[in-house]
Amino acid sequence: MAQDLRELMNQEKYAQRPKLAKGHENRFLSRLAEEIPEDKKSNSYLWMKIAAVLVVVLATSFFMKEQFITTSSEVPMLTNTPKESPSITPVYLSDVSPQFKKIEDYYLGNINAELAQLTITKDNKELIDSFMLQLEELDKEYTRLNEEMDETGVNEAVVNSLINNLELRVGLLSKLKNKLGEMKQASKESIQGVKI
Amino acid sequence: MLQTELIEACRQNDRKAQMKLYNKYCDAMYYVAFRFLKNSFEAEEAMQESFIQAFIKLHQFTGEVTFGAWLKRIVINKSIDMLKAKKLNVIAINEQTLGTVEEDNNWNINDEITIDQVKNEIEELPERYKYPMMLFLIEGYDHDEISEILGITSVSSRTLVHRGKKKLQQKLKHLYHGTGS
Repeated sequence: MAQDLRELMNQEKYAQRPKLAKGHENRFLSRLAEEIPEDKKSNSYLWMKIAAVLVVVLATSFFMKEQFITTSSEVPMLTNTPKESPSITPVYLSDVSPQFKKIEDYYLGNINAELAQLTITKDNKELIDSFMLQLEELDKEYTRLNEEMDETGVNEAVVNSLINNLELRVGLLSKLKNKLGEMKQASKESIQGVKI
Repeated sequence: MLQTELIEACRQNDRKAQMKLYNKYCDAMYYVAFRFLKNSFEAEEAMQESFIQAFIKLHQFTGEVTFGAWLKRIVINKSIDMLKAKKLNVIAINEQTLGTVEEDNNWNINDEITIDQVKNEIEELPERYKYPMMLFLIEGYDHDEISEILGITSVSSRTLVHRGKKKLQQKLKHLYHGTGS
């Protein structure tokens, strides 16, 4: 009986196989790292995330500390006008309640951080000045509220309006930032328009 | 870990999963490449390149065939590419001179012939027959698949395999008579 060539070759799989040379895994790994280095990419991305978080935390704590050291609840950058001396505003809620101090510090720290990032140019000076005036108004109001609280005692309404006051400042600042961004964009576009 | 999970992890470029899959298939794929390239360095190169290509193109793997079959196809394509690069005319087939042949279904050979003898004789075949015969007999591809791999028509594949078989049978016959007498 003759055997079928196809059937014979099907048994091929049982034949002895040549072995891979030693260290082939490591060679493959290095090849893999070279050709598909995505893993590293995602790692560095993670690192960037961590770094970003760290920066935020550090910045916040730095500004809080700053605030703590100066113990002035005034925003130092706010005033181009001479500083109101602390004696005019004898009692702040933050002096009484450490909890509120935390809140106040948090907001003022953020506001200072934002202010520090502003770059004043000829074009936006007017805009920034008007925002500064508004911020100043809010600051005065804040002092007034504190005085009022000193007279009437701590109540929810006053605390709420104090916090509202702080939130308003942050809101104003973010508006200012948006406006500045728009202005930058607009000037860029107009420059491009001139070029074309 | 299930195979599908493993493949999914490889899609996410999970190094561990990739190495698991590599270790699972590297020996078989090395062997496939070795059959074509007959050189341990080149076979390892072809096998590893194929794995990398497979990992990059893993999104194209739909699961219609098994992962092993999919990978093997890549390995074979890679091996043939490397052969072509070595000798450009390896599989240059003048299809015009290839008349169509009547296929017969006679694959019989003498009982005493062993796999190794057949493999040696396939090795000795002219290259235009050798690779279609290897793909057909050893790798188990059909003519459509062979035509895709070699970039020829499936008619040519049939013709080449048929002629290759005839030549092989002749040689094996001669071998038997030669050693037997």
